[in-house]
Amino acid sequence: MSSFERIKETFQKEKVLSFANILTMTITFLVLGIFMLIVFISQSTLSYLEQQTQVTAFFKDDFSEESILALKGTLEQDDRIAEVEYISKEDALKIFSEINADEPLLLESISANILPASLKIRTKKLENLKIIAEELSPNEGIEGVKFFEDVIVKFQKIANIVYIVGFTLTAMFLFVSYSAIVITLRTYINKKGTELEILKLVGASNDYVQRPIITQGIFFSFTSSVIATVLLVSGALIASALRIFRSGLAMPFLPEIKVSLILVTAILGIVLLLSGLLLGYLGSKNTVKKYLEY
Amino acid sequence: MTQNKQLVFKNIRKSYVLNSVPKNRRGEAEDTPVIEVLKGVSLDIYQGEFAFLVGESGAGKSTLVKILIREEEPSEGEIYFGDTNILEIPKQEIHLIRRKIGVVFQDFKLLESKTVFENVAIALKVVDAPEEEINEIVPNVLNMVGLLDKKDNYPHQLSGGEAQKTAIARALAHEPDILVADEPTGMIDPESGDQIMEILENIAERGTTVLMATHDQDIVNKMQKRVIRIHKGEIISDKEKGHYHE
Repeated sequence: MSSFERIKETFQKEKVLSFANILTMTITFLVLGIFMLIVFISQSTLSYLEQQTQVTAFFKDDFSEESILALKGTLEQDDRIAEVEYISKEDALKIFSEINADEPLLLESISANILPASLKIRTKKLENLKIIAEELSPNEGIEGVKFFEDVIVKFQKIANIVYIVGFTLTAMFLFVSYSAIVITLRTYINKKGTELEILKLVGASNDYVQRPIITQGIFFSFTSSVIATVLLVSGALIASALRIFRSGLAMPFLPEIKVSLILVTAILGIVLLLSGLLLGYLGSKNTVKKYLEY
Repeated sequence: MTQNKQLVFKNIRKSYVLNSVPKNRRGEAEDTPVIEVLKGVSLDIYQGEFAFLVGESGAGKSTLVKILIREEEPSEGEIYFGDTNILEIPKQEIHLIRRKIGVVFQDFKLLESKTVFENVAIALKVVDAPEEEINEIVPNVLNMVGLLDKKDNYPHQLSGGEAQKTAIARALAHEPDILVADEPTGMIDPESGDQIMEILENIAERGTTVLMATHDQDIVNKMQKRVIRIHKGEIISDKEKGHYHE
């Protein structure tokens, strides 16, 4: 009997168990896929936010441009700092005008003198933002220092909770799926116990006996990962059609490179398919191992 | 005897530890009760001979057969098949020795969902023999045991004798050097038993060594072959052309 015929036989004789098995494993791979996607998106968002987040130091009107540029030079020497940008009063007015282009009355009442000159400072690490802000505050000539600490910290906290919940769920479902493979194959082996014993006694090698069982395990697991991948990619296609993440996702660690949601999901799909193969192989290999002892 | 030794059993011992060990008041196990099924069996089987291993139920015959095909492990001893100590073969290579030793069991051990032809063919399929070879060998061995006309029958459509003939055909399919039969007539009627013995005798005449464990006195006395008598795990007699009680 070929491996395919054995799979067909198991399906016919163990309909409920087989479908429950595939359903459980499909949910597992779907949860795993969604979890990986969430990790990717949150990492991507975090990288983007980190890139955008900066400390802005506003200067008093009587603090000269030379002094500000001198401070800029000093800050640029600091290893913790990635970039320092000087925004003069004129630059500030230009930015203000761009933002409020549709408010001509407001623009008329504003002149460059009202707006303060500032330094925009980006740090290499997010945690250094607060330290730099605190170091800058007491400096002579600085009127105020601002940075959006709360947004980043809150996002990081939420992301950490998502990681923990996602990781726990994935681990739990992986365990359930592994058990599902083991139970299905044990049921099969118990029913086929005499046949396997006879095969061994007439000279079948361990490989011959375990081959169809391992094939079955891989089939169940791989089929489930294929279904999960199809669902995940379909979701990505729908999201793309709805123009969600239309500008693409920033690569974690390389935020300037953007990739499309479909491509990210397709890559995650490949990871899921490989996980399906691995889970099926390990589950069935371990199940059949103890039956090959005689 | 000038023939070559094909199988050499050296000091085979097999003990079982009883699970239900009596315990003292403190819950500690007292003397561990051990049952010695084989007490140092040493035996030579020669190439091409037909030998009976006789003895009452529980004498240790089946245990010796199981140890020979590594279905069970002995507590001590060596079994040489040619120059190879069977008991030292790694577990993952046991199938190689099982392909050289054909075994026939008292309960036939046939696959109920397969026809006679398929049951015999399974011995060749497990060695990945090509279909042409299977289609050539299986009818030959079925013809040898007189069962070619039943090749499409399923085991439940066979008599005990026919089922045992199928098992013999399966054991012969990969031309083993030795055929070991464990009580092959134990579950069949006397007439079928005689037919089975005739087949086994023919097999031995073709040069295959036959070792048969049995407690069927009539068959042993009728066949006039070597008789090795085992009693309570020990060989107590070994006679050429012997009788059951000698």
